[in-house]
Amino acid sequence: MNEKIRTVIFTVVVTAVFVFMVSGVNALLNDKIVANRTIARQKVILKLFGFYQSDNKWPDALIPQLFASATAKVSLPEAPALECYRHSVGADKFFVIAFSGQGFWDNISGFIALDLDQGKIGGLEFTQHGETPGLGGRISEPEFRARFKDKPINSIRSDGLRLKIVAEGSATKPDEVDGITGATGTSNAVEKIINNTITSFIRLNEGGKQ
Amino acid sequence: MSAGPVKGVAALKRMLWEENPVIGQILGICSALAVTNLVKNTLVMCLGLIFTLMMSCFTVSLLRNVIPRQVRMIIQVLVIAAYVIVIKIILDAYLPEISNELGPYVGLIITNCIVMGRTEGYAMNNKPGDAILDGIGAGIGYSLVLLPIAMIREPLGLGTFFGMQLLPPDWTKWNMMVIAPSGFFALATYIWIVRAFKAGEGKR
Repeated sequence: MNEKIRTVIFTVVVTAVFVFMVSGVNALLNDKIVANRTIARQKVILKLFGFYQSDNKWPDALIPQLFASATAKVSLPEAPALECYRHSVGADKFFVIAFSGQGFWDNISGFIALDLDQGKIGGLEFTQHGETPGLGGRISEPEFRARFKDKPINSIRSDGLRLKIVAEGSATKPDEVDGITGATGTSNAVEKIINNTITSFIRLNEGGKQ
Repeated sequence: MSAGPVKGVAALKRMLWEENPVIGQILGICSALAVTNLVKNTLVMCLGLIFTLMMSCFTVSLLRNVIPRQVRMIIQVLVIAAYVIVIKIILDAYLPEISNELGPYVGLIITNCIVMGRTEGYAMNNKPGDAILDGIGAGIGYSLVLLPIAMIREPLGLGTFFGMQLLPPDWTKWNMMVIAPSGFFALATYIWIVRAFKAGEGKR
């Protein structure tokens, strides 16, 4: 009996000590981790505005400053929670909007740039997804994301979509985008998310309020 | 595999060659396949494993006389998991990009059989000083297998080395080398070559 109690006490004490150690380290470094995540998001947004390119990288320390001076947050009265940005100077209707939706496995989220002056997509970036590596996971490759660039957003197809994802290599019309072979689930999910995001943003911004 | 009376530097040395955890005991294969397509990730993974092994072996060895036998495995996993989470937090704070690329693999050090193998097989029965050396040895032994494989996979698969362009830009990339199956081939070939060497050594 005595031995059993000792075992329980020992386990509890050791667990407590290690929990304390891990939470201590976490508490010490949490601010830095949060800052890193913010910088990573800001980088993605700056990339969509064309400020941050692979051949023109800014050091991480300057990112928050650049972000604050180059972009301005847009608040839409009907959707105050929607994360949306535009250039801080000029009145061009180029918006970067956060999106999120159910993917094949996990949530897919990211940012899309919409150029309302020209009526086309300015760019697409994913910040988080859990798609199958090598198949659906290819959505985060630059080559796939580039397929959406300059696609028209204002016309609605006969099937109700703005952009249709079709079998890889078979996109011929401007409102068609090549999907990923072997990742139909992911392709369909991305199609739904992108179409919903564009439609809801155009509706929120009806008549060019912003 | 009995721990035996191996002490001190000998405990470290035998892990590098004679009882190398990957070649001799075929442990830690999962991570060996997963991270070896980039030299940088492999290096971080190896350092993480060496740190985990060193700290867990030391801690378990310190506690070896007071751990009740029934719960020794639970305590070992607890110790290992705590150190791995600390590594993950430190990576998130100071090397966020690498942490992102390694994804779940840092967390999976917890389940790397090498760590538990060394704590249960050696640290539970030996003094802290010897246990540290044994842990470091096993970690370096693991790195001695992973790094050469990464040094072959990254240039062939991506044409780069440590992220820098190594082969001419018109090099046809072997996509095969980037994905996990090539890790099987590279690892198997490596073990084959090393074992052939070892066999020759025995005959001498």
